[in-house]
Amino acid sequence: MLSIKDLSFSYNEEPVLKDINISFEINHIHGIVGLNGSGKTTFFNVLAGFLSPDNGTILFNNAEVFKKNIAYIDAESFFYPKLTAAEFLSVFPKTNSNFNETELAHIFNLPLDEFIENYSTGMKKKLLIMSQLKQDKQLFIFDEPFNGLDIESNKSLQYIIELLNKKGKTIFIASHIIEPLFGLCHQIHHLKNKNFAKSYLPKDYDLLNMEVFGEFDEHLKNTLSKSL
Amino acid sequence: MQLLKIRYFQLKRDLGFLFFVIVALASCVSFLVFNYQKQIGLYAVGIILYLFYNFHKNRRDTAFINKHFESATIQMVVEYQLFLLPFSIPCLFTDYWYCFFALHIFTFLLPFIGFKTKIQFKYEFFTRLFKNDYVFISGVRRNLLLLIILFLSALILSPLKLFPLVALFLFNNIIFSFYEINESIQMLQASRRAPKQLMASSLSSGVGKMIMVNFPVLVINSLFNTDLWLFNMYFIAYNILILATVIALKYENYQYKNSVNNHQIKLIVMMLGLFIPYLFPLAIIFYIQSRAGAIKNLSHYLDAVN
Repeated sequence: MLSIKDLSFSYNEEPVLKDINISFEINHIHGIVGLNGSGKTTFFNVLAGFLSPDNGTILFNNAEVFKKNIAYIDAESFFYPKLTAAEFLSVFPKTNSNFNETELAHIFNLPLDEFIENYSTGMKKKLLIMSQLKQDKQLFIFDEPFNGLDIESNKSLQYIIELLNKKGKTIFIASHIIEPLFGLCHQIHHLKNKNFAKSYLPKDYDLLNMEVFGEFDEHLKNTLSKSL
Repeated sequence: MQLLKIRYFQLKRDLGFLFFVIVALASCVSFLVFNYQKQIGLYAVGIILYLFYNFHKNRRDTAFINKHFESATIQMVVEYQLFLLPFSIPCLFTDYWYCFFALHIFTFLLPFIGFKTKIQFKYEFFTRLFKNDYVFISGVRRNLLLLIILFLSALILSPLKLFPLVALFLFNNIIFSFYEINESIQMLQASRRAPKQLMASSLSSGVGKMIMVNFPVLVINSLFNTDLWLFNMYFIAYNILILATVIALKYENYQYKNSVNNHQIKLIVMMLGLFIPYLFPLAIIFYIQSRAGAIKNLSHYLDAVN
């Protein structure tokens, strides 16, 4: 279990996450959904250890998680433009013995001898994912992984996530593009009002769609009718 | 003038009242340099122009300014003209009064120049030479021509008095700029080092390369100008201190979502210390402060033990 107890975090004394108590099954794929500003990225940052919580604990099988065991794939990452993709990948230690750089690059359609400055946003994202797959990590955090990917790469990524899970990895995904989440996740958790409001199993995904995104529609309509 | 507003907030945050002290100091130094002796003033013009050129070439906010600010180019022109004044006004009271116009004309034109390079050479031996030191590989590729010109100038002119040091200073300045960019969180964590180890390894790698370039020039220079050996030692030591501070500042302010750190002002103060020894203690304080801050900040991103 990945257990979170009494977790709170605030930016400039403004609470973003408050008294979170939740347990996530390990070796599962967890989707995190919520409106913009609901704290998804902050939650991931706290989970990855980049932000220290005001209080609370995060334990992975009753032990602290080492940062080196966490793969964090953020929505936008900085790349040195004058490095080739192969040079970029060479920076990362190969701790996953099954990792085959050439084959994966072929599947992702990435020319490894090309300068990264010539890569598109989607290609950069795929390269970043490759760099994390090269390492044997326990926990994978994907923040908006499907943004900027073409249909083919989207499918490849979904398949990779499934494969990682089959290899016993625990995966967290936050995404605005929700369709892939329904097919992938063992559970989807709704972050609302600084806390996890509810967790949904696959059989409840219709309910999730209605409750979360129905609420979003309502919110959108209300906001727009007031603003325009 | 949104850009000036941003600069005002940055100066207020980073320096406060110290800003006026630094402006006064810079003006005094500028006046002294332009009055010192023949031709020194022209080197000073060269250095000032290079610093502005380098700043403009490497600034990361150009796209943002162009996209979001009205009359972006004019805003940059005004910014440069204002920040040049502490250096240029003193010229007017010296024999180099005409440099005032040269400085302002060049910095006026600067924002209109495009720097996008189309060169795609990989120089694959860099990968082997620098062994995964991505900061250097990427940085050298971006500035190769300028680095070669500066190094050769320094080497060829090394028997002379001032020239080689100016060329070396400019060379080192480019090296410092490599460390002003934040690597991604994934690259940072790939080293699997604890914060103190990461700082030490970044510094030793940078210092090693800097000494390799600086040492031959300084040795030849000291052999031909025996009265300069002490200054040459100060020069290399001070440059190492600047590099250490640049690395410490980068990690002190490291945020995985921002690729650029804005501590240009602190760095300019540090660089002035090369010419104004009174600023040396301030440089030491900057380094000690930043190093402690860097280790603390890195502990958010790296495990305490590897």
